[in-house]
Amino acid sequence: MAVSDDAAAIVVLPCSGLDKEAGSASREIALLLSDRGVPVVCPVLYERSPKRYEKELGSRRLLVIDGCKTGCASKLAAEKGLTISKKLTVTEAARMLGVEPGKDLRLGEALRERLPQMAEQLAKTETAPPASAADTGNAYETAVTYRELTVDKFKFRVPEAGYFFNENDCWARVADGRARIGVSDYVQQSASDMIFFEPPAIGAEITIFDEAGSLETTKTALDIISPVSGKVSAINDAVVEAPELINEDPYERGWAVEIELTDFDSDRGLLMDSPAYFEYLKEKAEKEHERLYGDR
Amino acid sequence: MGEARVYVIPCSGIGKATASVGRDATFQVIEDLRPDTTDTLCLSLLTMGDEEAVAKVIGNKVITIEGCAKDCARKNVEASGTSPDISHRVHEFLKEHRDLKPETVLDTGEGGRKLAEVLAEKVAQEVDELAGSQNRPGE
Amino acid sequence: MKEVEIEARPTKVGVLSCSGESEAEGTIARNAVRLVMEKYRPGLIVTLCLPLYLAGDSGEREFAKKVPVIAVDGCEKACARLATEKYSGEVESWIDIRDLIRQWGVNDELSRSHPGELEQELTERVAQEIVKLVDRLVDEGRVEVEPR
Repeated sequence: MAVSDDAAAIVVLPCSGLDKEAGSASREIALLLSDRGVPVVCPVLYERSPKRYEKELGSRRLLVIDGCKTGCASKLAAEKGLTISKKLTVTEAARMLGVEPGKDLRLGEALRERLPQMAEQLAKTETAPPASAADTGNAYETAVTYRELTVDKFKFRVPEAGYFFNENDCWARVADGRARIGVSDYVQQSASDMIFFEPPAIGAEITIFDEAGSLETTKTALDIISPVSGKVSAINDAVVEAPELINEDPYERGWAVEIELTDFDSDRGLLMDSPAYFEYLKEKAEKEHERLYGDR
Repeated sequence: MGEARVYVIPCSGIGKATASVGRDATFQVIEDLRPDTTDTLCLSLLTMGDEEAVAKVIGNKVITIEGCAKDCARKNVEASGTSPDISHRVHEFLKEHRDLKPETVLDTGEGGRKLAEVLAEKVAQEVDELAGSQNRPGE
Repeated sequence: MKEVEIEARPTKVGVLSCSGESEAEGTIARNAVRLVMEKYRPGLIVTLCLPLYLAGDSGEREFAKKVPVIAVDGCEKACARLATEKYSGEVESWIDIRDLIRQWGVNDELSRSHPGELEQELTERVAQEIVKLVDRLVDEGRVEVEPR
């Protein structure tokens, strides 16, 4: 079978849900795309042997199919640091097409009839490519090394170089006229498990120290205070789907927002580089951690 | 009570209100919702490698309930030589029930108590499925 | 990774509670330790999470080596004490709540899931026993208490 232009550019990761009809549908949609020449990633095999799909995932846009809102395939993608280009949740898509997926393990006729439409919807190329980190991802691939600060039983990591911090413990990592921003390890440990991330809008103008997204944890709510000025050029979809990425990897996979910089030379004067932030954190951690957050 | 077939094991987290929710949900399942088919055991016994506790998790179905992403209950079950059949994280339920945020470790409040009920109902259904599956021929 | 440690002055007491789910005394242990931490000696206690000894990174284990540790167990199985001895070192003091309650002459059946008046009273009494042990460490100069 000839591979179409679209099929050459995409790869699909379905969930492997076997406990309900929507999970079966997820697999069937992936098979429909496979018929068009789109490679399919087996989530179970990928979990055990990520290298197996290195080539496909490194060179194609990733489409994800979740059977339901549990979002297993999205979470797997997030855990592996993949950028999701487009996602389909079968339960939601089916309801929009007038079908309610059931608890039966087998695919019913009503849902089966809607699958080609869902496959088409998922694979459809958008005319304007979505603002995605895939375009700028390579600029941030330099390996990061860390220093660790121990306070009581807690260990807080700080990158040794290449990051800039404000006094709100938010960081910026600059590359090619843009900056990815996020919250520090100190924040994610103190604030506990992340459960929601509300990003700013793509295109929003941000001035240094403005709020650039908000986070909610099991313990508190906090804003991401931007260390830089510019325009929002990308959102980390993986963090929107799985905010716990920030807890797992706050400085790399857990970046939240990307900003196209307008005046980093000025912004830089108001920020701390990594060594300065480390010293700042040393002083702050002992005094503030106990007062604000008590025990974790 | 007959011999337990599904062990519901919360993490022993003492530092987070979500751990208290997990603990409350466990008690609701084993004492109120499914007292005949479930039980719990002290996670610390698994940490210590207590033979009786290890035998229980190996010989029965297990559901773990985690107070945070450190997954202590699951990891301690795995260290005993088996894996939980199902593992829940309380904060994943919070994503679906944002208005039910627990308050403190010692008193989870109205929201925390309701969240525990939601979690307990879900686990009770899973207990039924797991307990039923233990009767399938060939298993 | 390079590590920098804020000088390990013993300004804290580590308290490890069993938190045992299947016994009422486990609930009392857990709640008593929280009371001490939140109400009676805030800022002086760092609770250690027993399952993290196995499941976590070395944070709990390493910290328990640097500070005096009080183990609070619900019953004679002594999971908290034994875990500390296994992974970190000798405990400073040990409380067996079941034994303590017996010494106080309480023989009632206790609830692990719905602590009532009796359970709350016992929790308070256990908390006070923990406070005595903490204060003894301070009085002996084993823990340095800084003015806040």
